[in-house]
Amino acid sequence: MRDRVGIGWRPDLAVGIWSNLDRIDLVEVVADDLFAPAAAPELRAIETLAAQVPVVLHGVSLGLASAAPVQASRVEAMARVVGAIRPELWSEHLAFVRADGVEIGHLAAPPRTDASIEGTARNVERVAAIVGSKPVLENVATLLDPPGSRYDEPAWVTQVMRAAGTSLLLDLNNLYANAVNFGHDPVDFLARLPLESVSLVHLAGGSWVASKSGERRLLDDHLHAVPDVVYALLTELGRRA
Amino acid sequence: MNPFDLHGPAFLVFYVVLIAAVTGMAVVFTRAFEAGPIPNLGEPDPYLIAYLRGGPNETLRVAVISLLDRGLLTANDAGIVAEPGAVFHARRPLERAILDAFATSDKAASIFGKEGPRQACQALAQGLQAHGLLPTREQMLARVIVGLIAVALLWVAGVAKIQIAMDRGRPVGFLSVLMLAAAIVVAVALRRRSTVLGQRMLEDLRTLFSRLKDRAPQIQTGGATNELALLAGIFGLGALSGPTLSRAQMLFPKATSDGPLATLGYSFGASCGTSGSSCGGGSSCGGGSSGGGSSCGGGGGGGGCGGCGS
Repeated sequence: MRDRVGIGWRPDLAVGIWSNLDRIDLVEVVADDLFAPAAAPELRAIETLAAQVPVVLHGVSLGLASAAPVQASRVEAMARVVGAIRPELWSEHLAFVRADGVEIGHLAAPPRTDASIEGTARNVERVAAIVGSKPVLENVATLLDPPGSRYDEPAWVTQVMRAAGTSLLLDLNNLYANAVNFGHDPVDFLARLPLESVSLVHLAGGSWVASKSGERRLLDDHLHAVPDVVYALLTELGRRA
Repeated sequence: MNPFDLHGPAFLVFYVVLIAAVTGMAVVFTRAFEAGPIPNLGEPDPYLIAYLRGGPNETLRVAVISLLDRGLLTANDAGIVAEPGAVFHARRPLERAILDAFATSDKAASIFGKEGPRQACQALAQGLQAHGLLPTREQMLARVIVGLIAVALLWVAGVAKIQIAMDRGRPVGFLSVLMLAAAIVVAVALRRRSTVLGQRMLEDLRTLFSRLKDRAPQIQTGGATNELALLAGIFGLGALSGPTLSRAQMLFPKATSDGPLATLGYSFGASCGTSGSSCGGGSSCGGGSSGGGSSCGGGGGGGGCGGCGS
């Protein structure tokens, strides 16, 4: 099976995407934009888009990587959107976004512990029961090495994938950012991930930010071009696939 | 209770309700007959969308403005004329037909009477019918039959009541007027340019491309992209802005209707036939990113109508 190439749907890119559908294999739509009842016209419109090109859905607010149970209302909203669009697959982040009713407003990397592995697996089972399919899980970037962690990221991701029984959406820029932010070799990071379970790859760009103390971190802001080093990681991934 | 025993105003109220119910059923029935899966349009053709929205004359207006924007047509004192060799830069049969039609200078509005462009428009209509977006001959016939049945039902009820009223020496003037009104209501309710699928396609395209309309003033002219053609095709010439809009207004000051009930003139920014829709759109990340870390969505990879037509 040949690899397919897609792009993230943004209304500002509508003309460019629609005019090049013959060169786009799939389009990824942020599902959460379609959750609200007021977004019914957008949901219908994405159904029409899905009739033109294969669509995959991407979630950003379920917060699956948490010891706390995922919010039922959000899962039901995801189920409604997945039911309407019938995507090839849907994905979510290996992140937590709320705790004790407090919304973080951020895709935060959880402590890499047995509890977060088990919690993620439980949440994946919960959403699969309601949505009808398991999400593909995406590695996230972080500016903080999660405190209280027992595992490093490749080991944690590998165990989560095993426990959750689903496939991995490998964001190569997130992988690269975490590697360079915390002094690891990106290729070594890549090699230690369960590459056999990768079903989707994200490419994006970021920028360097500095704290007041001058410490630099690579921020995955999705506002910059994909750097060459991330393309090199894609080549490496292809070589190992 | 027998509704035909109702007197005067009470029966008229009943009859109005009957008109609404029968018309509603006729609409539901015809819509069901025209429903189907959302089609794959294949190549994104602004003129196909323009035809769906506004019919042949609107399509010709959009195409002429697009060709002027791309410099393949130029305006002069005598009207507009094709640039030498322009036909080799035409992307679609309709464009070629228009460029051929303006091989010599002519008034812009003359396009509506030229055979070649109209034939090219007919091909668009056939494409839309094949996609289920415009009614086929069979679907139009079904509308007529359903409409006639609906009117027949209403008139049978009306005539029966008139007979009873005349036997009782009651006036029948208001009921007669209502019977005429019933026929008009049914005709108007069933008279839609596009199918239910076509209406939906237009609404969805307006939603998907709402940002294009928002940034109409910033659209790059000169044919570098097909944004202008898509903007005009989906939202109408009234959605254009600046010099392009002025040129459209000057060349086509009054839209030529495609049918007896077509709306004349521009209604800028309005949508025709279907409810416009705004787009909240906007991808945002629920997880957001404030302090940094992971954002979402990912890149790709592996992971006014110029007359509302007929």
